[in-house]
Parts: sequence; C-alpha cells; structure tokens
Amino acid sequence: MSDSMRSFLEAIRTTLSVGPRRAGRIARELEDHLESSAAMLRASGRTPEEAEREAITRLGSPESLAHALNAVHKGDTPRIKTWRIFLAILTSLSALAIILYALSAPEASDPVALKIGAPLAILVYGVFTVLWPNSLLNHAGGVGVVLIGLVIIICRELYAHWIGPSYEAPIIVIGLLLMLQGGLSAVNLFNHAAFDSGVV
Amino acid sequence: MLLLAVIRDGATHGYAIIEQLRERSGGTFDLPEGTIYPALHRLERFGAVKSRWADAGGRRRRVYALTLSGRRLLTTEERGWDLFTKAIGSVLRSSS
Repeated sequence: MSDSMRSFLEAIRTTLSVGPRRAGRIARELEDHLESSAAMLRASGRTPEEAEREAITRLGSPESLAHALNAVHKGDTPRIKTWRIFLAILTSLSALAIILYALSAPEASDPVALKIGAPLAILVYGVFTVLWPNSLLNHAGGVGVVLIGLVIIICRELYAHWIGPSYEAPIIVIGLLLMLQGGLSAVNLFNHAAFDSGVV
Repeated sequence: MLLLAVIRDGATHGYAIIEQLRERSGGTFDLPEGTIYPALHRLERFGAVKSRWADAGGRRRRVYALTLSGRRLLTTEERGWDLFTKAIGSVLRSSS
C-alpha cells in the first residue's frame, strides 16, 4: 500500500466516531476498494502512481466519507450499546422482583395489566435487548418502554402497595431508568426513519 | 433500489457493485465511489443486506448479499417503479 493510500485511510480513521472494531472493518473495506480501483486503472494504462492518485480522488474526501459513515452508525457506539444492555439487565431484574412481589399480593381485583403485564413486558424487552440490541424491533420497542416507565411512575403508589410502602422512591428510579433505556433504543429509530428506500 | 438490484444476482463487494451499476446503465450511473459505502452500511443496518468477509483472489473482501427482507423490499420497489414509469408513459403518450 502506498503512502498516499495509507494517509487517506488514516484520515478516515481519525474522523470516524465509531468503535475500534467497526473502524477497522471500514478501513479494511476501503483499502480493498482502493486496491481494486487502482488495479483496474493500471490495467487501463495508467502508471501505478496515477492509478493510486485517481483511485483516491474517485473515493472522494476522506472527511466527507467518514462523516457520512458516522451518520449511518450514529447511536450505535459501543458505549451506548453497553449502557443499554446494562440498563436492560438492571430493569429486567427489577421487573422480575416486582412480578414476584405482586404475585404474592392476594387481591384478585388488582389490575393485571399493571400488576403482571407491565413488568413482564419489561422483562421480555430486557432479554430481547441483551440478545438483539441492534434490531429494528428493539428500537421500536424502546418507545413502548418509555411509556411503561411513565406509567410505572404515575402508578407508583399502586406498585408500592404490592411491594411495600418504603419502595416508592426505588419504583420512581426504576421508571426513570426504563425511560432512559427505552429512549436510548428509540433514538435509533430516527436513523431507520432516515433510510430512504428509493433510488440510493 | 439500484444497489439491491445489483446485489440480487449474488454476494458482491462494494467496488464490483459500482462497476456493475456503471456497466448496466451504460455509464449513466457513474456514482461518486465514496457514496456506495454509507449506502451499503445503511441498507445493512436496515436489514435489507447482510455482509461477511470472503476470500477472493488471495484478498479478503467484504461482500454483501440480500436478506429475505431485502428481497421483499426490492420486489415492492420494483412494482412501485413499474407503476410510476407506466403512469408517466401514459401521460406522455396522451399529450402527443
């Protein structure tokens, strides 16, 4: 690989704001592109230097390309993904505790949707997040989780009645964590919504 | 839609996709080469294509293939495009 190609790829790596693994993949993919393009240009009669220069020019500005790739992978940084998974585990365990406590409360007239449904939905969503954190379904489900978090905060007295009166503050915290977890997932929906399924 | 149509014929890498587009369109779609990768990555995130590393000619290349939902998306887009071109054709013919 020539110095000009190396500095092009270095400029891409510097401008990319994705995780090191993805940055490595992008750099290798672009390196292959440059080499293929230069080989074709050499075959069409260019000198090796001309071919490399033209291959780089055809790929465009490294900064613009990196910014375009950053926009695609926005919201998918390893740090955000790790936080989402951490929150999913935390809220799933809380949901499991709520279900167990709520089940031990004997009142048959309690609203089942709040008593079991909401925590069960959180638990299922948590497991789904851990297994498929980048799926479209997960991102769409984030909106629902934000709403469930809100409902839990609004109905905190009812949950405290099932779990114990001194747990009202932790229930609010769980609701807020759920809203944060769902919000981090739902942000990725904008990325999907930006997808233009027309002529690329 | 054009990228999906090129990928439909088999797993292929970014540079070959650009070459195919250029060739099949008789040089009309001579895309700035840098635009292909953000588009492919977006399609991958959307679930329309999947990618993997493959060895070809002693070189490791990232190749892209259509997923089932990508095939469905392409079929839908093709139908829409057919309707659109037929409608435009009808309008043009009726005005001449």
